[in-house]
Amino acid sequence: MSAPLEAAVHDLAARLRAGDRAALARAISLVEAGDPAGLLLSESLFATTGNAHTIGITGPPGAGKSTLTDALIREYRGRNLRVAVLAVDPVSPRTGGATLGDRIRMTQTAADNGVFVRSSAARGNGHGLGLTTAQVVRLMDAAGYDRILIETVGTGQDGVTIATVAATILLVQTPGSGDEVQALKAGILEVADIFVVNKAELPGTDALLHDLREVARATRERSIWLPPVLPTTARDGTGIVAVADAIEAHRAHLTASPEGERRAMGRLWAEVRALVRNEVLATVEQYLSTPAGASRAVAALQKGADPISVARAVLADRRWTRES
Amino acid sequence: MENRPIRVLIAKVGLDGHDRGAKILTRALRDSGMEVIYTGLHQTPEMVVEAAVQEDVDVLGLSSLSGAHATLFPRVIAGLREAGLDDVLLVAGGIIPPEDVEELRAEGVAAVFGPGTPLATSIAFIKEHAPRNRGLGRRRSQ
Repeated sequence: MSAPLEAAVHDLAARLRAGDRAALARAISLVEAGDPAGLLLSESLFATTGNAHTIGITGPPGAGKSTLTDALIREYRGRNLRVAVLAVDPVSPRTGGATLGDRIRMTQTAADNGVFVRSSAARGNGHGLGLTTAQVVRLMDAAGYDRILIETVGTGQDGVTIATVAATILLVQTPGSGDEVQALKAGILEVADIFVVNKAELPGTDALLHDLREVARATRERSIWLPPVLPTTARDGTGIVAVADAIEAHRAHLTASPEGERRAMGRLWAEVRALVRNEVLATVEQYLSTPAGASRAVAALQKGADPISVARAVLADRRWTRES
Repeated sequence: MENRPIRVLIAKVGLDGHDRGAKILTRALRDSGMEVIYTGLHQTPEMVVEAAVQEDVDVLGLSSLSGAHATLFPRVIAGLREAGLDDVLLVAGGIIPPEDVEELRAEGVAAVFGPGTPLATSIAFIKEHAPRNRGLGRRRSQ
């Protein structure tokens, strides 16, 4: 690392730790842009982190995740806890653009300096979504936030990705949209620590609560934690105290049981794997985009070779590794 | 950070309840590859400044149809300066009388997009003038 960059990273880290919100915001931008300074920052701050509890809030679009998040922010502020939110929205695969609209439903607390809300496009920017999110969470932790809420649309793979970042996973659903439990991918049902049935004033709530309790019981094979199934009406705050209490209970469970340590190690190990994978991938991509990397392969293809054997030859000569 | 998308905050300050224009611009900017955060209606200047800080936006678009530009825009601009966000590109839209446009420019608003401004004009202006490569920047007031 060059001396000026080292000094700049050190300076930004110090300002972030002192509670400078612009510094935290810029640090997140660096991480999201895949700027090398982002990883350096995260690295330098690691030793100061580990105090925040990270909660993933996932569920299908329209389930009320943002409204629930806003209600939780207020509940936490009432408990004198500082809260940071990362609201992840999908990115258009066609244009790369994104509309980040969750902030609309989270602005009641905007003037409170115990709350930090950041909107993010789910692009990963070369780091992969899970890896970028892990770095952002670390920065928020280092900045002194006690609870970090990550809100993401997730009914499939994304929802499982959140499990590599958050300590407690909330799955939010609403009644009345058909066969909800069946429609969900098995993955997210299995990793949920707390089930929330939002818009519980709607018909179909009892049936959904019942179905989810069945699902929750099945998780007992893996853990002594029985995921609670909680009805809420996030819009008017009904049931939010119970949700916040359940999160605290899960946190206490993780602290007291070997499961907490095991899962924390699992998250760090997932991060290491993602970092290594990205580095290798970037090295390979870089080599393949050079004339030297492409020419032999293209020549072979032009002579009629099949792509599988060409790929095998590229891998076998190993010239993409950094040493060669 | 040169390769990241331009981040834009579109904010409605003041009491007017019309945001069709703001929403159309939000969508158009998104479709041109930007990350656009829309605040929703009835924001106070303090809320807008705080959102600009936390979201670390490159561009702030302020919209007003009710005369808020005369009273509230200057408070947003002062708040941005106070927060050290001097490099954010400021643009304004909505109904702003020509005699006020010069005053807003003097305050630091780079462009005013009045009614009927083609979307392509606004998009091109933002693409050309949004700050790039802002680095690790130590901001003035901090």
